[in-house]
Amino acid sequence: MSEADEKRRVFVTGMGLLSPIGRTADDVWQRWAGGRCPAGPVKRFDATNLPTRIATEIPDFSPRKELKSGRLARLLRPGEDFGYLAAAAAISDAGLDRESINGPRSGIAIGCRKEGPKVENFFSAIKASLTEAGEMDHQKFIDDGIKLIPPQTIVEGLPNACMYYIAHEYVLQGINYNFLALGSGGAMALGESLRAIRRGEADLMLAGGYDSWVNWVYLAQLSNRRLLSRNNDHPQKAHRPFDSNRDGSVAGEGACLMILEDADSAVRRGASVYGELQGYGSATGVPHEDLAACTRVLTGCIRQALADAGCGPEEIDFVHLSGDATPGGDAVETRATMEALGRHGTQIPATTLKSATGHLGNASGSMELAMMFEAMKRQTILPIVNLEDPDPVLPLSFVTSPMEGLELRRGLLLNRGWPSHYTALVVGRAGG
Amino acid sequence: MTARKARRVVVTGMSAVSPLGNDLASTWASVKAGASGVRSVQSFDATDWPVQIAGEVRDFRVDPFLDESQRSLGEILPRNVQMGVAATAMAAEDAGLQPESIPPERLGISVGAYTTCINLRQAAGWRTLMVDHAPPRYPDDEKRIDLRLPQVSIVEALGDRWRAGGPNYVVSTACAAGTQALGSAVRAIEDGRADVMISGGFDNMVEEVVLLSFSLLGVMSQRNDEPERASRPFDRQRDGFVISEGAAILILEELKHAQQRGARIYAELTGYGASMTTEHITDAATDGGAPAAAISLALQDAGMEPEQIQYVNAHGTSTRGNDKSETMAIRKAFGEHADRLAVSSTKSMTGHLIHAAGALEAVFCVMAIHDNVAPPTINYEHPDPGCDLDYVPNEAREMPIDAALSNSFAFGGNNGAVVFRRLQE
Repeated sequence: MSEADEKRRVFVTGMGLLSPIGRTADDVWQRWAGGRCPAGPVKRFDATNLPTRIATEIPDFSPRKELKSGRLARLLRPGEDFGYLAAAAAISDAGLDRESINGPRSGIAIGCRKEGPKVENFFSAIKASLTEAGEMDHQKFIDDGIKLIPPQTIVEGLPNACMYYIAHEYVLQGINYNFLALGSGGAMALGESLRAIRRGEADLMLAGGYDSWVNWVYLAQLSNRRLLSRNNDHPQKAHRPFDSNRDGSVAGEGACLMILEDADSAVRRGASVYGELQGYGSATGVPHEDLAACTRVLTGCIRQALADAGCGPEEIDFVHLSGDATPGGDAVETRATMEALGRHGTQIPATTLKSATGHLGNASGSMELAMMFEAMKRQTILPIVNLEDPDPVLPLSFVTSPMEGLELRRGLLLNRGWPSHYTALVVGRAGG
Repeated sequence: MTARKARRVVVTGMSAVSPLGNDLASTWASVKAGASGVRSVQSFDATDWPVQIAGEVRDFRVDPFLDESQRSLGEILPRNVQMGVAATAMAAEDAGLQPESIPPERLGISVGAYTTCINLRQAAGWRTLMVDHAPPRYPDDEKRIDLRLPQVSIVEALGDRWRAGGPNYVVSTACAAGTQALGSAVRAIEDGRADVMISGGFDNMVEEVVLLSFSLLGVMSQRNDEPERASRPFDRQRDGFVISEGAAILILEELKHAQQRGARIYAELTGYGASMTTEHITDAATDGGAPAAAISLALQDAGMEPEQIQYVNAHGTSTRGNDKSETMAIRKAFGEHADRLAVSSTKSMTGHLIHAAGALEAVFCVMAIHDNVAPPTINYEHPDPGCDLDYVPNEAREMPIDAALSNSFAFGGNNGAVVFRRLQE
């Protein structure tokens, strides 16, 4: 990388989001300040036979009404529809539209999770093919089953479908990334976009993540891996990061996409600036069940992000932790923060949005970054919801009541994707 | 440009698991012989289905490639990850890679992969669980393959085994994923975030529901009576692609790192470019414009002129739209030099490995440079006026090849191109 490339700075000039607690950064902030997690029994489907039966859902969401296209509403799976809407909001928030975007110089980076077409697409065909004994019958399937499979099934199942619809709508024809991940995708997409703009591969990137974990299969998978809380009787209290009684996340859903721009281009067009993306590190904890090894890896990842941002540990004013509330996950990230930032790291405020929204999957990294920009704008840090009995072995200064009138210039975001993908981002406030 | 890249990336190991063979030697020998790996589907009963042919990997077992400590994983890993495990082990051996000699954070993974692993029996099982609620309580710690978390599989099976603590990308851009995974790996090394990347792709879309869904879309060859002649890229009588499965892994390494440990260097990966076709989700770019942009960006990134490329491994799916559009894209990006290029589609032999296609075709590009042989496009019988390049018809061609480019264009619009070159001092 040449000297000139090193100097390209990257500003965030737009954001669009949907979450269980609001559809603007201001809404999410206000609801977080209210201090209550909106988790409840799953409404979207019958979860009675699952070990985890609670979730945080985006209320009153009707794809058909909101997407304004019957075809898109049919083809986009839950999560993807949030992504599509967040993209539209981010582009409009940045003061851009399809005419003003320079297609070949504009890229898209998405973190998501998708597992093909809805398995439900095949249920009618299977039902029509069952013998009286309940066995699949090949001939019945050929005769009666196949024709019941919706013809758009494969298009619906494309892993990159949502990215395509967004790129098509806003003419984003440049570099592109679609990362399949389990929670780390949005943060990775932002970090890789920072790199792409610095290298000069793009001047503008639409980047972030979308996800929905509120479906039968994911709840079954995630709960069986002990990643989700089973506190079904007290849904609002279930997700408790860094608390002595934590037992995992609450599955949620949402999207947050951002417009990242080469700073010079942003200034030239008079864009309003949320803040600056300054440094990125990524790493994988291996072996993934070895907490000491994971801590070492995450420590290196944080140092990498600081070096990339060209700042020292003492220049970090606050930390936004991942806080997935798993016993090991919370331990690793608090220890790594202490290792990488030293004593300073144990003294600065440490918070997380996660227990106010539930785990937004691949949208969590970008959503939490949005809240860091809010914090720097308001010079306020909100407390960790449900942190009632901080785990005494975790060494950081967790925020348990609002802190106002701070001097927040720069923050560190930690993101953990399961099982052990780590991302660290260093962000600065608008105006330096 | 090569000259201004402070950190250069070379290929020090490769592997393949494909319908043409379960290792690179047998796969490459079949490619040079112009053999087809497409057959009637064996792994399930496709009698009377619209599409009854595919490129399947035969007699594959993952056990020999698993560590002692990982034996219990074998049966619960999805088949695509199983093939990825095998390909990684073979590529690492080829490269003489010893994970204990590399700090974990300097070794990363970037693979094109998707997570569909479902057949009708599994779908029926899901229906029972989700609709009939039988059993009434979902069993705890059930190790069902269809409920495994794909990310967990990749980290457990590859990350843990190879102590790959660096960047970890699972790139999921359908038919372009293998190539785009190489792109992300190259950038990670160039940017100084890793010294070695395990990169490539694996996929097993030869599954009942996938075969059915794709055939409903009308983009697959239905030449069921002549499987070996079904994939016929650039031929006037082409009628769609043939779905396949397999894996290919390349060990990408920073040049000095490779030289210091005395590794064999197959070639340099000099350039990568990507773009997005934004016209239609499953149709090829009508004027070849966006794919041409990816090719030009890759050449520019490599610091090379079009005239320096001798061989192009085409995306060449054998669909009506792609092959014509790609021909236009190659003409647009290479100008007059397009007529002097050897352009072939190895999908004529392997079928379409979807998320692994770009990775396998990158391996073929490197082997083309290594052996100075351009692989053929087989089943090329009837010239199409819309496809008028030199497609290396039916027989491999010995010719000097110093640099080769591989194209991948996805359903969903993602395009990627990657350039390999014989290592220059």
